Amino acid sequence: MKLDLSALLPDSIRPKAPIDAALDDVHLPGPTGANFPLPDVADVDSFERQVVEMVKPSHGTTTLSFIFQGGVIVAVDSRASMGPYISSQTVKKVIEINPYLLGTMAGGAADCQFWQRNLGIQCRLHELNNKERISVAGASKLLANTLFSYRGMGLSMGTMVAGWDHKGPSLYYVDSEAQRIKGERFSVGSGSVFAMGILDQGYRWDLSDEEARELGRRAIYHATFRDAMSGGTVSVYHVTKDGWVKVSGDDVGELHYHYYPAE
Amino acid sequence: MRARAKRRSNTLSTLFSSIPRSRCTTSGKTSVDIRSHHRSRRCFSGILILTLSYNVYWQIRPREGSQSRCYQKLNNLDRKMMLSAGPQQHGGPTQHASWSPYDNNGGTCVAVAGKDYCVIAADTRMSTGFNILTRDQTKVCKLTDKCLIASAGFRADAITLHKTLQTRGIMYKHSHNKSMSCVAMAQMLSNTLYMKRFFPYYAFNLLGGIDNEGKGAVYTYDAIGSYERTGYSCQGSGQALIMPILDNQLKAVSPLLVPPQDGATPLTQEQAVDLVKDCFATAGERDIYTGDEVEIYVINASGVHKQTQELKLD
Amino acid sequence: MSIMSYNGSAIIAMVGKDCVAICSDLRFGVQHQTLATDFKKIFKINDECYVGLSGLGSDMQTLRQRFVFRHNLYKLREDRNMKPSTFANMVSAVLYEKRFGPYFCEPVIAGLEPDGTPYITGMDLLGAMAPASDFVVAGDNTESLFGACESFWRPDMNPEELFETISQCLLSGVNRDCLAGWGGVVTVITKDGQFTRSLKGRMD
Repeated sequence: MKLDLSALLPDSIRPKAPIDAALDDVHLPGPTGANFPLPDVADVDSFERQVVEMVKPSHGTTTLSFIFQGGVIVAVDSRASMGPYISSQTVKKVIEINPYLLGTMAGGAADCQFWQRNLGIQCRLHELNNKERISVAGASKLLANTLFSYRGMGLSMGTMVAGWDHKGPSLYYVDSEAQRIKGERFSVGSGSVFAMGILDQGYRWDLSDEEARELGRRAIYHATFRDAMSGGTVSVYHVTKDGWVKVSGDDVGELHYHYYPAE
Repeated sequence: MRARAKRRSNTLSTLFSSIPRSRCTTSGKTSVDIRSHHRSRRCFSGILILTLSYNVYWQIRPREGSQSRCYQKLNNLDRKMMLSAGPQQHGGPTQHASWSPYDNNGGTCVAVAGKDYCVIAADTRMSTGFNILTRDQTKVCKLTDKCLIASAGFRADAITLHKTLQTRGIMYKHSHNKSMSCVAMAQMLSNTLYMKRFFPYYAFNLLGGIDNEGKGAVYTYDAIGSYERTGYSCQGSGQALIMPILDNQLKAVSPLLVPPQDGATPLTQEQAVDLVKDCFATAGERDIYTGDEVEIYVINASGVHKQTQELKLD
Repeated sequence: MSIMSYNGSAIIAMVGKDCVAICSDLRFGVQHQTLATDFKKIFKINDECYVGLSGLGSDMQTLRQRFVFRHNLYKLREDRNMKPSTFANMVSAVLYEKRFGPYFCEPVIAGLEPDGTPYITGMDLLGAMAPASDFVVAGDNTESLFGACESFWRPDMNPEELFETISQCLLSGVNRDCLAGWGGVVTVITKDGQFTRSLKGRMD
């Protein structure tokens, strides 16, 4: 058996997989593709800072994810804010990469949407080239590699890649500094401190499925209550060996009075 | 390099010389009817915008001659470093420290999706700072028979963006023998915006149309391509003024709820148009960048219909 | 982040037929972190005059104490209540005293004059008055509040209509504002007395 080291070769001489070759005329930015035009200004860094001021990309989030005996729970809120103004209460912050893989979104909404979609493409290509689903480790590494090639460019992402592969459930944290950590409990975003408090307090490995879902929901709810930049709808996903299912989506406006009925 | 510089100055002089000429044609006539007067105004503003976008183009275009093909192969950080070294090094035009490739021309866009229609509207004022540049510059652009885009923000970027989308829509039609669907157009707009992630289009976009099932669709964007399908949305300088009104009157159900709930706007087409008119009247009252006139486009099974409504001129 | 939106606030005052209403949200936070959800920002000065204070929480409390103190002195000397327009002038003077080191508060004053005509005024943090005949808003996201008020307000509302309108305006406005909300409180002042009701709002 010959070991495939082609990934280590530079782009220009790397042998193309048939699928990749067919995609040549589709102009997708590759993981290291230098396709993004940069402004021809004297100081790019301060230009990028000004741009952030001007376009005010959507920010602010609470996301969490944890592994327990029954699989992986992923729970998120749904608010996007531009400064103090709430630009949307209905953002989909869980990105369904494939039926066994989920990504979460914190930081710049556009960065997360675009690169996780791009990750979806890369994962599908991997599947077509290798005749098997990509592992969670592999998928998160693809994303981390992509982000590494844009390090220092001002991307803003804090994402969790959660899924089920041949080794069972697994969970990775990947961010725009290209940090990639394997773990069993993460919370990301402006409200993560609040969510983590609830999560740590209620977490056990042997939680039942229903307890685990409720823990995820409650942790996000409490974060939306305390954190101004989080809110909207609490969505909870559960990944098992059969893939992910969305188990709940509750409007916080009603969820609060469900937990604490008004007198 | 020199050849290009020459061409540039030629084009510029053509542009500038055409301004007085176009003025002459109208003012030279003994009688000027309102129609032609209008046209001359539009013509003038058109040139103004061309000059603007041309300036931008001139200043930001990478000088491909001096930087060899290996420029493309450098990684992103190196490219950034190279640019940070400053343009002077390469003998290009000297850049003023305070020069910015952006301006904000203001304006507001609103879109409401119904069961079988979509209303998309924008005011026609174009301003810069405290000045009004023109009172009849449209912000809406027809992309396909079932899909319209409205953009507030920097007009030059919006025009470039609209042109790009239109062109790609036509190319799609030629290669697939069908019009691009609204859903596909929405994804393409997102990608187009994100491709300029590090030098964004300073435009805030709304895409409205009819989807493949005949339902009204509104897509709302941020400047760098994050997007979402919603029941209604508002973008631009009057966004914060109008959104609470729409929330209050329409209250679209979150698509994230489990079990899902029907989120269609209960309003009829006429009610939706009235609501949009009210919204613009409100924004015109408090926002200096919104006013003059609002163009309302209704897209439904019978096509695209336009109507206008006067707004305050102050 | 501006010091004016450090704690978060939203206040509206509105005029009806022979009545006025004033309302505020209930959040008290430190930047993004919500600390309390029972922080009322409207204060009773007398039966015919209320003041709402938006901006920095600590200055809000200091100012309220100073206003009550001044009002008490006035009552001792004059043996009557300040009318809202007088009170507004006093507030303006107190704020301008600190012209070069201002209190970070924008007050809203609402009340009924002795002849029963409604009086509302807003003010900037230096005391420049902006009286209005329809509505006044203050807080960290005035645009959202303005938008709602501008389209829902109409002249000559009776107290119940006024209550409904101002409540809808407040809730719609703060639902687009990260830093304000978490419920609200409304007071309607009529010549026959006042009533105060709390509003159930989104708690995120």
